[in-house]
Amino acid sequence: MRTLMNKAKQRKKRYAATRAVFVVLVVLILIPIKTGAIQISVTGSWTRTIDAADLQGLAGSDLNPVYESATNQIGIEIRQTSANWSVDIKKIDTNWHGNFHLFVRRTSNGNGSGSISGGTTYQEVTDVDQAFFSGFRVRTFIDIQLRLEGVSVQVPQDSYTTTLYYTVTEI
Amino acid sequence: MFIWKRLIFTAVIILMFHSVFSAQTQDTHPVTINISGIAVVSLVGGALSLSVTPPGTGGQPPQNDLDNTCYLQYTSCVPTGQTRTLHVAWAAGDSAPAGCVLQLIISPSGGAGEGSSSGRRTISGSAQTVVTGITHCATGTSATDGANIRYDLTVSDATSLVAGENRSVTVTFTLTDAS
Repeated sequence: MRTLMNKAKQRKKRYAATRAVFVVLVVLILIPIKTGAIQISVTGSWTRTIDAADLQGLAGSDLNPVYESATNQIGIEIRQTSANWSVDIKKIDTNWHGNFHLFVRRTSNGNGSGSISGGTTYQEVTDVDQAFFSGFRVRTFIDIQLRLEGVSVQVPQDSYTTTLYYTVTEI
Repeated sequence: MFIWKRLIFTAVIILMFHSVFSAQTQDTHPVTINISGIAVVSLVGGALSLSVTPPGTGGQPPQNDLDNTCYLQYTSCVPTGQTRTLHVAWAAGDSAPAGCVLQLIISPSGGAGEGSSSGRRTISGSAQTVVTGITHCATGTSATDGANIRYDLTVSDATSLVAGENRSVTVTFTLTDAS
């Protein structure tokens, strides 16, 4: 009889322990849901018209091959995080010329309680994700500058568009 | 044993949730580059003088004159499939001296997109096509870059020549979209 009672007590203890573990796990699951996932917000765009005023000289000269946006052409905010994160960048072309090479760099550290590093020298944006910069906690007003290379009169008259994708991931 | 199975199962579920909720968001912006059409042309060489001179031997026709020191330099950018044409004309009221014609032939350097010569043309008040098939090019800006221009002042009717007659004309080159 006593043995049976002990077994029943042990089962109760196990059940209670299991329940406690489940409660903790559910809380762990709910915390990120309640606080929300990390967010990246990108503002701005870059449009550049290239015409005869961009020739290197008089008639007979070619177009300047390189163009840069303003240093704060694009603004990025990283929110809803207290963790380390990294930002990847890629482009998806709508109508883009093969001679063009698009570069990007970070020109400010932004504001916030965390930190930020990397991405301060120009790197070419390709069709596959590449690490851009990384940081810790919330950062706002991160400035981005763009640079276009490969322009010449060999590029036909047209409007060329690509879209830059910034992906932030908690790490 | 039962607890460990539950724990492992739950851990797998958590990892699945974690990958869904923790953590990756994305935003975008466009980049637009507008390449405008470009058609600019300039003349290197400036003013020149051509004269009909007496023959070296009596009874021979007067001697023609020529100049090939001028160059046309141009930059062109067109939409895919379009070409440009270079025309020449002189101003209304201009004319060659009596008994003469002023002709020219323009020879592109052969660079890609710089077009092809239309051959010899007699300059008049009506636009004459001198180069066709110009697409994407920048001929260069050095002194002898671009398309060479050869002018020929040719006696067409020696009996109409007037001694001492001088004529000044202004030759205009125009780069236009091919129709």
